[in-house]
Amino acid sequence: MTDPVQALVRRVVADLAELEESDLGPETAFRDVGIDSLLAMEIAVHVENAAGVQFGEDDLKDVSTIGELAALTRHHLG
Amino acid sequence: MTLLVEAPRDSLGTLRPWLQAHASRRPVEVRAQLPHPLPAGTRAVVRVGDPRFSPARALIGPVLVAEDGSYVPAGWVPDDETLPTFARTAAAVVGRAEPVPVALLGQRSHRYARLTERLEANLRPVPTLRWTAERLTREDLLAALGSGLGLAVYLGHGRPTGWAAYRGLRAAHLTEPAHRGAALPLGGLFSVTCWTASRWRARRSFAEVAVSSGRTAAAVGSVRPVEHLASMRLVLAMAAALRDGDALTVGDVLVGMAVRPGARPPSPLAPPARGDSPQADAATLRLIGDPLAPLAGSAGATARARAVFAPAPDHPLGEHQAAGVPSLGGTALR
Repeated sequence: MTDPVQALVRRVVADLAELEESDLGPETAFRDVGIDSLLAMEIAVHVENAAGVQFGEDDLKDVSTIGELAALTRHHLG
Repeated sequence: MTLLVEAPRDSLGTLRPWLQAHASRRPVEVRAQLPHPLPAGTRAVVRVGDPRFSPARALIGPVLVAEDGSYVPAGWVPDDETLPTFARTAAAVVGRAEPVPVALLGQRSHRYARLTERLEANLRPVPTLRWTAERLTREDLLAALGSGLGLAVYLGHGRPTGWAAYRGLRAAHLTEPAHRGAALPLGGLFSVTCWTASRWRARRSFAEVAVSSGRTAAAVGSVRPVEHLASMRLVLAMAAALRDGDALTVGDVLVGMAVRPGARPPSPLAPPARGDSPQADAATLRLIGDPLAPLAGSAGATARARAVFAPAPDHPLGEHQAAGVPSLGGTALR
């Protein structure tokens, strides 16, 4: 069964970085698919808007993969 | 939809050109004190008052909530010797109607160049002009800002006295007669950066001087630091407000930045309304001047702005020649 939060993050990453969703998994590192820190921040804001959460400025420092961003989102969803 | 103005009685004569310009388009109501709550149908609020109040103290936030739950952009205008300039400037832009590009200003650094690129990408199909610091000198930018555009947006570091970019564009540069020329005011100047509406160690904030100098009818800046994630949220919200076509005025853009759809944490700004909720990042923003300044430009503004020579540093010279820009030996290349 697909994790809806993970699916949301994958969809946002694919849209903004112009990648195929099928090429992305929880272990995919942003850096490895050409996503710099600024685009990662933009992705985070889109995920915030879609999930209805708000990350802290420091939350994103330890997020470097799709799985980690999904985990952070889940954490904020409670 | 009414423009509600709080102003001392003895300032009304000075404000008359601006009030009349609005009165021919919408109801205008002037009061000695803003009512609480704001009446339903209030389109925007302008508070004209004691110049000793800083933007942070004069307004509790960038938007207020009317009794019907709608969000109302609010502007601050210090009642001092510069009030006639504000009244003239704001009156001059009220009737503008020409659709114009958005000027993107920014600091010469990789981070802000990328942020400008992302704003540009998120704004599409809204036309933009790149007037970032790797393309224009301070003097050229000051001249370019006099093209009569509707909106310019700065991304980069900021202080109460001005921007870090363009070799430090300070409030004092805005008032230098050498840079005024035949300048036409902007509708609005947004600084998505720290501090530019704060008076910390400054008699007037950069945002206030941008308006009081006649450079723009409205200026938006922050009274506190703005962190990176917050500025990204603001940039994306601004882009959405402009791109989706609902924003006609500077105040509309501000409301778009301050209020986004979706569940949000509670904010001290205002209670949620109509399923939206305020965005805490925007709480530090303040609008100086007229929230109803249109995003449209003056007649011929697009042509004047597009004639500004602001090539990318790696832009091949031949392409400019093909575009009709004077070549080496001409006056525009430098």
